[in-house]
Amino acid sequence: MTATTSIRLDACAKTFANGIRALWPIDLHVRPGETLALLGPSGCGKTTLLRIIAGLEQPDSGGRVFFGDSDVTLEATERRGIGMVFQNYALFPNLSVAENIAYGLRVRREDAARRSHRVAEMLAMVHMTEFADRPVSRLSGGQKQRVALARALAPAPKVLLLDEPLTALDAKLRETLRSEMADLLARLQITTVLVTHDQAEAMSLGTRVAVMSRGRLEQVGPPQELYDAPRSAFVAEFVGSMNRLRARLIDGRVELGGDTALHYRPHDVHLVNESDAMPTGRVVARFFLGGVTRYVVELVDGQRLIVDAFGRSSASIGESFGVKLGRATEVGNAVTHDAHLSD
Amino acid sequence: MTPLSRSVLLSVPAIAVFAAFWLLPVAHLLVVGASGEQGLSTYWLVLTSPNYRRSLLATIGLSAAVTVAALFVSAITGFFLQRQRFRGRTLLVASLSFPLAFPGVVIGFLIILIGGRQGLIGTMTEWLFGDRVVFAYGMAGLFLGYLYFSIPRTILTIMATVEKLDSSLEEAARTLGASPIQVLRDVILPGLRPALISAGAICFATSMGAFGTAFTLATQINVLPITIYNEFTNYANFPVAAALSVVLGLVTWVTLALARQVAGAQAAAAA
Amino acid sequence: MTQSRPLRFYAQLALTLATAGFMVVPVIMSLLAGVTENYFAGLRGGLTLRWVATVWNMYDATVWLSLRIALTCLAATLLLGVPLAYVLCRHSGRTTRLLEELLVLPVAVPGLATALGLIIAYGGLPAFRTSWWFILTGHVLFTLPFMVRACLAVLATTDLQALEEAAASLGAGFMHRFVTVIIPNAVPGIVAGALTVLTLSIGEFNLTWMLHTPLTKTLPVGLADSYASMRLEIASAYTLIFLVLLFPLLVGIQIAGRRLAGGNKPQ
Repeated sequence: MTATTSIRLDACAKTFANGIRALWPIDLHVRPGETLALLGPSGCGKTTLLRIIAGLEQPDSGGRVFFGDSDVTLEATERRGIGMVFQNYALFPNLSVAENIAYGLRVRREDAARRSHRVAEMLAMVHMTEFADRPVSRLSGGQKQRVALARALAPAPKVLLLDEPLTALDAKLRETLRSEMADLLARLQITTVLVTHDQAEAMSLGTRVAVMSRGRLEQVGPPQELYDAPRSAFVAEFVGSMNRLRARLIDGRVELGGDTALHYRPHDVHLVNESDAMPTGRVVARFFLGGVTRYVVELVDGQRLIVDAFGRSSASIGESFGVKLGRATEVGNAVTHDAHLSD
Repeated sequence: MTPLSRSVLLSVPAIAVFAAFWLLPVAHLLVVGASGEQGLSTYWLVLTSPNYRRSLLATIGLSAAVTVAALFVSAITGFFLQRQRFRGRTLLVASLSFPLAFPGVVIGFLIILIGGRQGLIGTMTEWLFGDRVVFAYGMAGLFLGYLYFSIPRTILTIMATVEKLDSSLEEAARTLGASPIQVLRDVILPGLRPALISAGAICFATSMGAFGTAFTLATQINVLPITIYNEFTNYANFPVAAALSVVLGLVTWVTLALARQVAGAQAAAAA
Repeated sequence: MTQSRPLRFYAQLALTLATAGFMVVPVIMSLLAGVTENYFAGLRGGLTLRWVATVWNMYDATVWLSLRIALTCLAATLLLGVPLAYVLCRHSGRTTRLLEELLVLPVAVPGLATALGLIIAYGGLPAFRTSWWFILTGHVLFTLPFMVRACLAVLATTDLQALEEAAASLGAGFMHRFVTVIIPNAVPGIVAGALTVLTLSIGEFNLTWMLHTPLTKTLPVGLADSYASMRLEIASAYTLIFLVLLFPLLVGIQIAGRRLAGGNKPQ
């Protein structure tokens, strides 16, 4: 396997021909062997960023893309040595599974013996050996995804790019493939950039996560850091669920109202017996989600909180409880749109 | 009234017209084709006798050549126009597709204007080389006339298909290292194959049955429709005319049916 | 962005321009020839409308006949074709596919064969044979599939069954549903189909040449006559009239087609 490389983006911005600005100048550094997840809502520019790394889009003038020490900004896609998995898989309909996987090797003029050996290796890696001669039109979604991955990895690329790899699959399948993919990426140690709008996917697959919004990087860091120390309200509310309570902490007690806000994760709020030491809330909605029950609780002053209770929980609608507020999450000030958030 | 009986009622007028004015006449045609002196063997005669065979082969040869040329030109220009955006593009597309509804007679006339005895090309070559080039009344004129009505048809079909091509397949090939030529060969052409087949079949069938163009150009070359016309009008040889028509109809219908099979429903939609 | 990209672009552009030129130049020549005093003198001889006037005097009957046939053909295809498109859309199965195949036959099979069949079958009815209704029959057979297909294409994209059921649940009987729900939803197809039918009928020659009599000459038949026997200026002026008649229809088809494609794009 060719040694994997780092990726560096310098001041990459993108405005499209129709005037839409997809990206403000972005600096990004992906370390060799790590998986960086680009996470954000649709339209935030994450796919555009991925395509710039792939060479399918050119950054506006001044923007540069580096693979390791080489400047690949002007290099055509076909010469960058990348492996890419597309959202709709883009498997060649006129070729079988094995032929699809062999395509990149054919282009590189690998001899037939080495080609078939590599194809067999890839098929085994994604558990698709029995499907070698199957036409791709007769594959299920999960199978197509595996073939797309095998095809991208067969030529031993320096860099792996994944565009919403699991979005098209149904929920259960997504979970299974997510853990398969996590294993694979850990084993391969190839520099990977993954685009997704699903935060569970980003958090479980990414060694670091870059949260994007409206063409800008909001925060980059390991998943735990994003969750525990969000730097902006956007990140706080996008990653996991977050309660935003208009309140103040006075001598350790929570006083409702005022102009400032406190942030609480749903699992940091607990329903206990009513007491004078804490605010009172009435359950107005209940969602049984299996291992966790999610309540919407209305406080005396009308504010609502989401409360997650794990295990078996039987509070019913209309019941009143004391609302014990645990650890508040520190949310940094609004992000200055300074591009140097990369490391 | 049940939905089914209502549907039957709604479709009866069209079916009745079709049955009375097409099915019945064609049945007559089949019968008349077998009613001549040679009876059923008239059909065999029209395929084997040298005159008719020459006409049939000339028509097939011409239609095949026109199809290949039209597909070649249309594939390149159609792909180019659909993928590129530049000033004047809409005008170019319109100018390539507006002759779609021209009847063959008019096209024959246009060819005469270009390549006839007082044609544009003739005048130009006389001015340049002293030799007046006249090509309208030979195979070249027929070929160009047929090409003229074929190109708009094929270009529109191809452009519609190119629009629907999945560009992520081309991008995937590029990420795997394929050069533009390889992308063309491995992704684009296979993707265009159904459209090329159906457009080609329609082009072939239309050329086989074209009458007006050859009629106006009044060439020495007798394509099959002209032969049929002569047999019927000039020689009152109804059985032969009928038999030839049946053969011609069969050939075109089979071509289109085969293409539809191979290329899927796109052929029917484009006709 | 390699150096060869511009070269490929210009080569393709050149071919495209050459082809477009091939299409357009003869037409322009024909239009000009119809309005110049003398073809051999060309533009230097001056422009005139006298050829157009002469043609009109000689051949105006053909224009009126063609228009009459085209409009009647349109009416016929609307009455026959729209209900049929509805039936084909609601009951898509083996039988209806077979029906569609059958209906396309007059288009797949050369017009000459259809015309011959009609003459052999109905030539014995002189009143029918010598009237313009004979020509009309051929036109209807040839254009009906286009009307049906255009309506079908549009109806197939709407959830016809759901719409009808909703209307029925609100109390609408069949005729009412047909007029207030089905037809309005088919309008883009009807418009595209109507323009196609008119254009095809006005320009139809293969069938019409066989079916016509000296008293029932349509515009294309007249054109063929003039190409064979008249001087170039007259033939050109006649062609000019024909193209002028055709032009708005062609533009209409382009517009209708674009609107059809735009409406069918997935949301």
